[in-house]
Amino acid sequence: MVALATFPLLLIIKYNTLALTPSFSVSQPVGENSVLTILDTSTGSDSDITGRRVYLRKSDGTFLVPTGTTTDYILWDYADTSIDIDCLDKDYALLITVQWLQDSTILYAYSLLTGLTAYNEDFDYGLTTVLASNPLLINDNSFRANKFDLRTFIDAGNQAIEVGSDIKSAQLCYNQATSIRISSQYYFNESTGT
Amino acid sequence: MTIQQIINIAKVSEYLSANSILRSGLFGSGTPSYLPSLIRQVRQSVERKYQEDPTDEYLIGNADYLYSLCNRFNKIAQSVTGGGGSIASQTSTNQGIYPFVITSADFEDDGVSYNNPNIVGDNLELFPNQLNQQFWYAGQGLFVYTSTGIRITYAGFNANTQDWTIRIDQVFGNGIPPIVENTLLINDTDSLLINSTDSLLIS
Repeated sequence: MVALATFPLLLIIKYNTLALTPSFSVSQPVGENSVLTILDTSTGSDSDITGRRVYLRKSDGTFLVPTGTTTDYILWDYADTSIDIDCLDKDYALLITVQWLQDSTILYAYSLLTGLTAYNEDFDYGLTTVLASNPLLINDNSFRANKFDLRTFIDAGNQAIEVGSDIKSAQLCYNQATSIRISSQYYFNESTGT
Repeated sequence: MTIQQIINIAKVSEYLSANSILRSGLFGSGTPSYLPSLIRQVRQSVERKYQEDPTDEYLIGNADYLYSLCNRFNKIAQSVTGGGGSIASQTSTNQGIYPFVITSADFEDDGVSYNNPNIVGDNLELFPNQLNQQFWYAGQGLFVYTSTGIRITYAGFNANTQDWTIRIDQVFGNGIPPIVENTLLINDTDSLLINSTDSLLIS
């Protein structure tokens, strides 16, 4: 697991007494780029809680859910400390909201603006490995410039989240990086310099 | 050298290489203008993978490539990072710490003493950046070795009131051997020593 770009955005307490201080963390399992893991890191307890919901809101306002899910949210059994959600087809900036419920009543909610960048990070690492095995590739201006662009777009997206809390800009940056990744055959001639 | 040490060295080499290019004038004296960015990007890739999966089969090769990019900045970077990590040296030599830079803030309260157990017993040369291309060696009346480090004897030196940046390096071969200055405590009733005009040999 690596640290993701995150920004805590919203904390709503519905109760007058602070029985639970809600919080969670987000990560991506190694080698499973389509999965995000949410870990409940709340402190305290509240015996009224019966369940949780997770909302994965994208920059366009729609919600990301696994295939087959008919609601905007994903149910998270309160007995489970963490939940793996397999729904990412590319890198996303997501506003993740977890609601702690008593039946259908929201008792607590906590939101985190998060950048999930495993696809492009892994691709960038792959380019680094290619470069390490063939250092002369750095003399290929196209390879170098596009690798630099890729890294810049990933970092810029993370900055948009960490500094600007700007999900739209972050997603635009991640999309630019994704564009380089999925069209890599046009951007990176990995045989150059051999 | 561990991967974490290489990552630490790369972080320092990023700004060292950038500053080097800025100072080097035309064409960065041959240093590619993209080198700082390249070091940073490869470092980020290696660092992320190292945190995520330290057993990655390509990690060592990629870290070696990163180290090679740092090239001429490696030694300075190591001195800045204190060796780049916390792995204990396999030998007793302190050679790996040199050269390193101290400032006025590193001196003791007396303004002239610099204590560092890692330099005790080593032949040293000092290069104060305020003085034009002048190396200081022991025995020239500029500094002396003490049992805990060195003491500057350069006339007027006072780290409490002056800003000094001094590079300390080790001297090998014909370097002047360390002369440890000792304090001789005598009683003012000891007329033999007080009145003596001959040199006093202590062996």
